[in-house]
Amino acid sequence: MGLCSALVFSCLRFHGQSTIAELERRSIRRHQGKHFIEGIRKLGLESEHNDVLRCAKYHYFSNTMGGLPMDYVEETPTKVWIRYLAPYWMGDSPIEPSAGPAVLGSAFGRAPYFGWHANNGALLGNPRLVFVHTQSLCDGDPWDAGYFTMADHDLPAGEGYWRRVGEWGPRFFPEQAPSVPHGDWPPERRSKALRSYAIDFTASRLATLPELVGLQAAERVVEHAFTVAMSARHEAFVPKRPDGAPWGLADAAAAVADFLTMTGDHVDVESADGGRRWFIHQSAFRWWRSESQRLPDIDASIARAWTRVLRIRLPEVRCRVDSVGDHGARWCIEGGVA
Amino acid sequence: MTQSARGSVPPSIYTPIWGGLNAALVLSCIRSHGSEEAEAVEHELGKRLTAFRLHESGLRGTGSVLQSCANLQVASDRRQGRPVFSGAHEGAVWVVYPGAHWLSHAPQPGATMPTVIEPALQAAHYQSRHGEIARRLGGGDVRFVLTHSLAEGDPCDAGYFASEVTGGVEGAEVSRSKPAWLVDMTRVLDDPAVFEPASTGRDGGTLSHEVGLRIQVLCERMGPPGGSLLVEHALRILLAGYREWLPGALDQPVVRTPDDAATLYARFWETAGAQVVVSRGIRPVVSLRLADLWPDTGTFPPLVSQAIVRAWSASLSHLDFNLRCWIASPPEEDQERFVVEFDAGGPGT
Repeated sequence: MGLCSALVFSCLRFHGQSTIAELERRSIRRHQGKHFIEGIRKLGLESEHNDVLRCAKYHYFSNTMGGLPMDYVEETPTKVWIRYLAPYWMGDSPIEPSAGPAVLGSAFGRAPYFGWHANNGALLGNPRLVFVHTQSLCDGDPWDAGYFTMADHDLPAGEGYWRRVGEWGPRFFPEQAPSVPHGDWPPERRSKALRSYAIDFTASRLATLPELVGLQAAERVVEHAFTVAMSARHEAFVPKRPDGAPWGLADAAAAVADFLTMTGDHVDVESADGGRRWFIHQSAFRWWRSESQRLPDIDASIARAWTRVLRIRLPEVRCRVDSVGDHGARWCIEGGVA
Repeated sequence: MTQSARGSVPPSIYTPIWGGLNAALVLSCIRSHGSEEAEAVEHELGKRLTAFRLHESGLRGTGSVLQSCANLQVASDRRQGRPVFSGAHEGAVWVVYPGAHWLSHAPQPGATMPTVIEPALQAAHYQSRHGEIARRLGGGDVRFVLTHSLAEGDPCDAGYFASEVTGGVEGAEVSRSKPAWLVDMTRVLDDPAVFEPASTGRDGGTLSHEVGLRIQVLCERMGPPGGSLLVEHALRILLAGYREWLPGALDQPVVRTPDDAATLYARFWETAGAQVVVSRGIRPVVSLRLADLWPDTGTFPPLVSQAIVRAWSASLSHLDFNLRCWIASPPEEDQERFVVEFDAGGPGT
């Protein structure tokens, strides 16, 4: 999730507040289109009494599954509150609190709700369903919050969103909240769910960015985001060898392979030319699986970021990537002039 | 009634709190006024901070002028808990900053916040600190040259003090020329001295001191209303983000009652060395003097105190839905006291 946030910060630096708000709205809408209706079914929410309960539970279940702390309060069966508690993805990640959200403007705080919650009614065929957004962390509220309810008139498709400041809603009592489906999942399954959540949101942003700012500008945003985020955590991405020995190309290949397998994908690492070149074969990239195809230029910008980060340990190294089919890739680690 | 000033605070707690608040103030300024204004604040703040540090050190360095510049800067960085490497090479004295950026203090190191920093803001940070040291110690003969910047995709921030350098402004310049010796960063990363811990508490030049100075500069540049709005936003965001981490870090893991909230609030200020007075009761009261906490920064406008308490009150809802706090009247015998009262009548602050 740190990389996901870094994309927003990097985009803010190069393109400003209005662009990150639009990036957020569009990428969330993209994510919703891929996951919402299927998620309603998977979570067994089709049998709920109404769309208010269905939506509130969907967001409560799916986000707690992704590691976000949340409150859920049924004030009435047609007025149900959800609160997104900090620390959440804005900043660094749900498990890494930071001051990062302090830089995000009001429009960015509204964007995910415009993007997703406002469109729930359209996807469910309910033109009166509305999300009332009451608190926004980006405006200095202690959390993001609001409630689903029914308007007394039909709303245009995709516009089921009202901003209403000042309502706080009832207190949350955990014992009165619905049992989450993942409550008794074993740690490994929870871990996979967390991973999928982070990957899918990052993929939505990566895929939306070129549509919004153009491919060349998107490459610059991605390269900067990955370079800074990974450099800041160099101890995790390019750690000192346990034996203290200098890094070689094999270590660099292992570092990139570790990164690629963070998504749960399998890779094969192969040396060539007597160890002067290393290939990492990737049959699919989980990041792009929910998208129609890979974006090779974005992959290339990630490879360039890796070149910069690997040079912290190994001055003369280069990382590049070639596409193989729609979803596969071959990453190459080789010597290169710094 | 209890009066306290807790002993030394571990850097693992002190640095995320005060370094995090410092970062939040920078980010709030960018949010509301843009990067150029944040750059101007950084220039002014850095110069004041450097002047304070040089005054405190009596302008004393060791060795050559270049080495003195580097030594003073490294001492200053270490005081703030920033990993720093220093070494002489080919007539210049280098300082290299691997890992934690000056904007990335958080409970877990390596936050992504530096991604948002524009090169000019980054340069302002170094010009106003390193460049100012060069100007004051070396007159017109010494400059600091910033060669590496995380903000521009380099793996670290780095630069050198050198004489016979021309160009640049106010003792500093930016160069994109990368020296051969720093191509291999292993020497830097593997030096155990690089990661020495920070000093904490009341020392001048610490992160909490920088926070006080930064608030002062913000209020001067934007007026007390504008400055205090930034303080409130920054503190609200920081306290919200830290809601799970802070109570445990301050040894008050459960916050359910106004008494618990008062204790947490008091301990927060004690991390900066404040003398805090806590009066227990149905509505507990905590008082301290900001002027004692940040003695060299001048008087703080009342709007700043109000902003701080509004932010605290909002954040208490995280810990228990109905907790809140507000400013109470100071005692007649000490009107400069900053007195805060707590109860469970919220939320909605």
